[in-house]
Amino acid sequence: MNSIESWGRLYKDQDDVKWLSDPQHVSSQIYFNTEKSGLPYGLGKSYGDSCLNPGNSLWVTQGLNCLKHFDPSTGILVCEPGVMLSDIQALMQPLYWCLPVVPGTELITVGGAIANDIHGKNHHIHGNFGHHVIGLKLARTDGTQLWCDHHENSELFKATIGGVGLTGLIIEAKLQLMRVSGPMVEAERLRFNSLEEFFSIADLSESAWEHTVAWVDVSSANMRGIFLRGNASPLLDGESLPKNFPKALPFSFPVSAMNRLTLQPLNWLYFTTQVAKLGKFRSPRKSFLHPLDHLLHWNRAYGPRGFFQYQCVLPRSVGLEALHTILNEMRIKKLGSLLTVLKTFGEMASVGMLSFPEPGVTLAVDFPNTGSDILNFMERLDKIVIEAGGKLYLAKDARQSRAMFEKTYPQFELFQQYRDPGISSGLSRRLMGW
Amino acid sequence: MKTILIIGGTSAIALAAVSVWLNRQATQIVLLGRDQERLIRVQNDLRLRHQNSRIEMDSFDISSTERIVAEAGSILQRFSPDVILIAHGWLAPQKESQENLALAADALNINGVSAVLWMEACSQYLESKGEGSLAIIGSVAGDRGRQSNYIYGASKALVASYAEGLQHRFANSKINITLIKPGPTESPMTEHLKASGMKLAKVETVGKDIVKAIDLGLPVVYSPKVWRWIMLVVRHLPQFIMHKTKL
Repeated sequence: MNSIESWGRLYKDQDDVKWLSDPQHVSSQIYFNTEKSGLPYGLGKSYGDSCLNPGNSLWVTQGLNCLKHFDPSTGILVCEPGVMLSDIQALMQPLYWCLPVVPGTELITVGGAIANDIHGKNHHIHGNFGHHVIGLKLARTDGTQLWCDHHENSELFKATIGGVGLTGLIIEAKLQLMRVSGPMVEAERLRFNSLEEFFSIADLSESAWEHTVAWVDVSSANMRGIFLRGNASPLLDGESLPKNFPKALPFSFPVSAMNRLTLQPLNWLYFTTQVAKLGKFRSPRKSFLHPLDHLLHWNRAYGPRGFFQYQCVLPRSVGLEALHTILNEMRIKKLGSLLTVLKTFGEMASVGMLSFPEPGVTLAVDFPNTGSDILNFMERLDKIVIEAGGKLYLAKDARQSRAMFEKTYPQFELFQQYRDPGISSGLSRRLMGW
Repeated sequence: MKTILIIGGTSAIALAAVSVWLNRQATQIVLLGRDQERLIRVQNDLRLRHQNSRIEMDSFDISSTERIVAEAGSILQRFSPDVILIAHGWLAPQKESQENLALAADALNINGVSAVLWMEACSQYLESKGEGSLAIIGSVAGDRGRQSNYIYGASKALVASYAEGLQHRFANSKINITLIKPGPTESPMTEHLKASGMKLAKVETVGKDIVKAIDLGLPVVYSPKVWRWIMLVVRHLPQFIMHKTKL
C-alpha cells in the first residue's frame, strides 16, 4: 500500500519520499536542495513519469488534506491540495453543490487536478478544472509563498494550471463549485456504427446534454461503439443512492489480461452487453462518471509490466481522418484494450500554458507494456498526431520524444521561465531538459 | 449528543477514529493538544465536514505534569465526556536518545508519565460519573524490549501495565478501559520508517479498530489484528534467538 508508483506501473525505482502533513512546516521541508530536486505527489494516478522523480525526492501531499473554508451562498471552497475530489463530492452532495469538472476517477487530489488541468465528460460545457480555480497559494523551494490568480502573479498562475507540479507546491486552492440539481444522472446509451456517426451524435448531443463520452470497439472494422450522454437529475420518489463499497483487485495479474488473444472477444462481449442495454436509464452520478472507481487497483489487470495510456487530442478539421488512421493501425496490429474512449472537446480555451484540452476530439487507449514493439507502434501513432496538429496528454505520457513535445506544446519555452529551480520530474527531465 | 474527548487532538490515529465516530452520528468532539495552530486547522476541517456535530478544542502543554495536575480535572468536568481517547505520543529516535538523556527523558515523559497521569485523572472522573470509556493508544513496541526501540517501548509498557491495573480496579463496573496496540502505522510520527520502505498500517484501519474496541469494551486490541500473532511469537522467542536478531 505504501509503494510509490504511477498508475501505469511502468517504473520500479523507489524515490526518496517526504510526507507533508503540516502546512506550517512545508516551506522548510521543501527548501531548495542542490543535490536533489523535489516534486509534489498526490495519489499517483498520473499514468507515466509526470508524478515520479527517480533518484530525487517526492513530496507526498496526502496529509495536507484539510478543508479551510466553504461559503454555501457562493459555492467557493478553500482547501489544501491533498483533499480528494471524492471527499468534496460526498460532502457537497447534500448541499446541492459539486465540483464543476471531474475526470474519470474522483480518487485524485485537488493538487493533482490543478497540476494536470484535468477534464471530464462535460468539457464541451464546463471546460477544464483550471477554469474553476479562482486562485491558489504556491510554496516555492526558495522559501517564498505566493498567491496566484488571474490578476496577481497571473503568468505564474497560468504556468501552474496544468504545469504538472513543476512551478511549486500548491498549498491552498480556492475553487468555484457549481450548483447541481441532484446526485443522479438521467442518461441515454446509443449505438454508433462508424466514426462519422459518432461525430454526428456528439454534435447533436452537445447543446442538450451535459455529459458525453463514447466507447469504441477497437477490434471492429467499422469502428462501432457506444455513446453515453447524461444530465444531472435529482433523486426521484422511491429512489435511493446505493452505498458504495468498492472492490479491489487484490493482486497483480501474472500476465496482462488484455492481449492479442483476448482483445477481440472482450471487446465483443462488452459491446454485446452494452447493446442489450440501449436507451434511456438512470444512474447515480458517481457510477455514471466514475465507473472504474468501483474496482480499485484495476491497473493490476495489465500484469507486472504495466501499461501505457495513449491519449491524444486532434483538431476537429482533421479529427475524423486521423482517428480512422489510428484506429485502423490498431485493429490491423491487434493492439489496444477494452478501455478505448472518445470524447469531443468544446471551444473553451484552456487557462494553462501546458494544459491538454484543445477544441477537437480526444482519444484515449490503453496498451499493455510489451516492450519495444509497442513503443515502436506508438511512435508511428505520434507521426499521425503531429501531422494532424494534435498533441499528447502529459498526465498519461511516459514515452513521447522531446522533439514531439516541443513541437506540440508551443508555450513550453515560456513555461520554463516560471518553473521552480528546485523541482523536476521524470517527465520534465525527459521532455524539457531538466 | 455524545461527547468524546481526545487528548492529543492532532494525532493522525486519533483523527482517523474521530472521523469514524463523526461519520456514524452527530457527536461533540473535544480536541486537546499543544499546538494551537494545528488544532485550529483540524477543528476547521472537521467543522466543515461534519456540520451537525460540535467540534471544540483547547490548547496547552498536555504532557506537562504541572498542567495535567492543574487542569485535567476541570477540563473533564467542563466537557463531561462519555468517551476519552488518550492518543498523544512521540516516537523518539532511539540512537539519539541513548546518547542524549534529555531526549530519553522527554520520550519517557510524553509517552509514559504524562499518558498515565491523564489515565489516572480520567479514572477519577469516570469513577465519580459511574460509567464511561477510556481508551489509550499503547504500542506493540511495549510488548517486549528490543534494542532498536526500547525507550519508546518501555514508555508504552508503562502505559500497558497501568491500563491493566485500571482494568482490575474497574472490573465489575460500568467503566471500560481499553488499550489499543497499533503496529507501525502511517503517520507523521513514522515518516522515516515509511521513507525506508517499511510496510505500515493505514491510520483508517487503526481508527476503525479503536472505535470497535471501545464499542465492545474490549480490554486489549492489536491493530491491525495480525500483530497479535506476531507479538505472541516475539514475546515468546527464547532469549538466545532474540539476541541473534536485529529486531
